[in-house]
Amino acid sequence: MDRQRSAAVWAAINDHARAGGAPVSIEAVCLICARTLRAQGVSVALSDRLMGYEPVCASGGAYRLMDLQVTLGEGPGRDALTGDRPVLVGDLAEDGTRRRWPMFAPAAVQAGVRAIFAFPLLLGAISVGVLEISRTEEGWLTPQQAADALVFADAALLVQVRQLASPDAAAGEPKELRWGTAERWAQVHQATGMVAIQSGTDLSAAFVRLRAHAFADERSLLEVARDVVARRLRFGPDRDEAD
Amino acid sequence: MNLEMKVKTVLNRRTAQTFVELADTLVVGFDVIDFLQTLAERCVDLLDVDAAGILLADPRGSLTLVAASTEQARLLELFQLQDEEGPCLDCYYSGQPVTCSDLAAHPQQWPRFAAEAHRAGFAAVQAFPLRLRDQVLGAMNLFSATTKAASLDHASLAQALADVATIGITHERTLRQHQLVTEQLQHALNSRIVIEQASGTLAERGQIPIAEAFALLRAYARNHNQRLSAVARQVINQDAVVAELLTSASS
Repeated sequence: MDRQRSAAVWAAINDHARAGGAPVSIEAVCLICARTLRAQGVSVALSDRLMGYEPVCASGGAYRLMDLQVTLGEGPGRDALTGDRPVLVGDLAEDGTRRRWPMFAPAAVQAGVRAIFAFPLLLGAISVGVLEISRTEEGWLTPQQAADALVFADAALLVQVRQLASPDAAAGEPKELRWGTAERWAQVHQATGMVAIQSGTDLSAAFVRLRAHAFADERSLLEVARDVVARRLRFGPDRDEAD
Repeated sequence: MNLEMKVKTVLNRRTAQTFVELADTLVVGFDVIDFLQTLAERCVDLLDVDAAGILLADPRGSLTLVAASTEQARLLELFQLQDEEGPCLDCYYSGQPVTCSDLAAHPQQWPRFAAEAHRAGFAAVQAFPLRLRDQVLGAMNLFSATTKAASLDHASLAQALADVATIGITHERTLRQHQLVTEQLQHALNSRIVIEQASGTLAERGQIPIAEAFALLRAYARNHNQRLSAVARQVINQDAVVAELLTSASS
């Protein structure tokens, strides 16, 4: 549990975007993730209603790993998506791993990958995809690296949720990507559920609207969420909110 | 049998029943949130305290509430406040139990936490670590409305219950990989978020307070022998269960 370390990872992501003069992209998250975790491949696949798993971005040779999971219908990324939890595999050549993914594991090893760590892009019932980190050498992530990977997954989630939300809703969002400590408070998630019903949207759009509202009013997300939960603030079906 | 012995016998029986009940939930259709929720509620009965909560450490840097004996908003804030300061944070960093039997007598220890606890009507607090060998996963937090010296009997029972929580989270005693703990922890933390989102959804649908929405979810899951997080997902997906839940609210 290291707050400063998390802040450093967010800073690295934002610095990269600022240097490029563009908002944080999913490609940038993958790139910095690969650099920070000394991984040969990093990729993001989105959860898709039809396919279940849709590759969108990869650095290094990670496209091959996603291709295999699309073709074979099995693999750590798919399991992370369906199980709503990280799936961490230190050695793809191990017996247990081969039993778990009889087709994917040998194919991945043949493609030169020995370890793969899949982190779902998840915030409660908001589930948008999976971040996968792969290495050519066997071995586990250190606890520090696992914590960093969770931050990269948060960053990928934020980028993705923003893109899925309507441009209107996301327009007010800050350029800087940052996951505050507010997201650990119950009221933020309770308010997300309430706003989804008030505005007739799904949870991810409701979450983006809450964040945008807080940013526009220069208040903290937690304060805004508390107002929603206390029914001092309502969000209408369109952009205009009535206090 | 004198009165004291009678009380002890009853308490022992209830303690044994609790461990049996918790062991049962560990096996069939195990869900970590249901498990921790039951544990938090039983802590109040067994440990003679007024509120109990379980907080888990997220590797990203925060201490987050995942289960509480009651969903009173002020109490939830009190748990979550310890992400910044309080007995749970101290307990997490030291890996040792932390006790303050009279918060008013030591206001400088945790100024903000002590003030909020007083406002919420609590006078004493304890925190017990959830430990897995050299790793601390979180803390179990107990609140009392009256000042009291912590009894040794209760302290060892409380630590035993905290250890049970650890077993519930790691699922098995022989677990050796930090990786599996990460997988389980993230799942538990996320399940709690699903339940919060569902509470919000239901509260807005029925125009009822959040705490009442949570109570409805909990009662429905119990009565229908379903997982709390599964019922929460049905509510978020606007399944028929929403109407049923709200009917039971108005009746």
